[in-house]
Amino acid sequence: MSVVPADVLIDRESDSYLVQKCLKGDRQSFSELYRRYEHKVRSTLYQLCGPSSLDDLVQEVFLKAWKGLPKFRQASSFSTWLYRIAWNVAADHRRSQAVQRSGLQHLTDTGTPHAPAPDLMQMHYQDLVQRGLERLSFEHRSVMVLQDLEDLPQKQVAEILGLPVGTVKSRLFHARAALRQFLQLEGVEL
Amino acid sequence: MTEQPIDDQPLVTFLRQHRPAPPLPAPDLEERILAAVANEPAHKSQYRHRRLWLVPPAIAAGVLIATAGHRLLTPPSPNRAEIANLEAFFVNSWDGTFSDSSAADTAFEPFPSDSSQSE
Repeated sequence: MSVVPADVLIDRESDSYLVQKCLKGDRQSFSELYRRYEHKVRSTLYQLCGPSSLDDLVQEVFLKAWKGLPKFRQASSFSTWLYRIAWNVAADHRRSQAVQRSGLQHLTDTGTPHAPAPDLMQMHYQDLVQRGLERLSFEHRSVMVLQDLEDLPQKQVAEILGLPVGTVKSRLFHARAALRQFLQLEGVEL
Repeated sequence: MTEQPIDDQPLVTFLRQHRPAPPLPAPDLEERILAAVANEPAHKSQYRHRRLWLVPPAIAAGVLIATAGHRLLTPPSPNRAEIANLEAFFVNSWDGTFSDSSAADTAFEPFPSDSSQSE
C-alpha cells in the first residue's frame, strides 16, 4: 500500500477549499495560498513595475487579497482574482511613480552598440527583453506579460484586465509588433 | 496582395527564454506578510460585526411598523353626536326586534302536530 506524502495531500486541496477555510479564519490556509502564488505574483509585478519596492508590492497584493476574501464571489478562479489584484497594485504603483518622476528625464543607455561576449549573451538578452517591455505602454505591457510571459490563456487575461477578448488580441498584436521591431533593431533575429 | 501572417512563436519563445528573473524576496517576507495578515481581524469576527450592524436598523424598522400599524388599525374614537346616534340605533333595533316578533312568528307555517298526522 502506497503512502501519500502529506505535502502532496495539501497540494491536492483546491484553491476554493482553501479560500473557504480562510473565510472561517484559518490563516494557515492563506499561508498555503501564498506559497502557491507568491512566485507568479512576484514575477508579474516585476515585469510590470521593475525591481524597486517589489517586496512591498507583493505584500500589498497578499494583504489586499486577505482583506478582500469575503467579497470574493468565486465567479472567477482564485488565480484570476489574485492576478487582477496584482495588476491593480502594479497600475497604482506606476501611477504614483509617474507623479514622482514628472519633470525628470528617464536615462537609459541605448546609444552605443556593444558586442557582448558569449557568456554574457543571456544577460544581454535579458536586458533587451526588459528594455523592450519598458518601452511598451502599460496596457500593451500588461497583456504581453500575462499572456506571453505568464502563459495565461487569452480568456483569463481578458478577465483579469476586465477587457473584451478582442481588445486583448488587438493589444497583443500591437505589443508584439513593437517588441519585435525593437529587438530586430538591436540585432536579434527572430 | 495579402500580407503573410507573422509567426509569433519565435518571439514568444525568445521572451520566455530571456525573461528577466525577479530578485529573490527578503528572507522574512513570508513572515512579514503573515504577521500583517494576523494583525487584521479574522473574517469570522467580521461577519459577526456585520450581523451586529443589522440589529439597530431592524429594531428601528420594527418600532416604526408597530407604530404605523397601531395608528392605522385602531379606529378613531367617536364624538358625542356619533355616540348619541349609535345609542339611538341600538334602541330602535331592540324596539324593532320586540315589536316585529309576532310578524316574524307568522312568517313561518307551524308544523302540523303529531295528532293530526296520526289521524
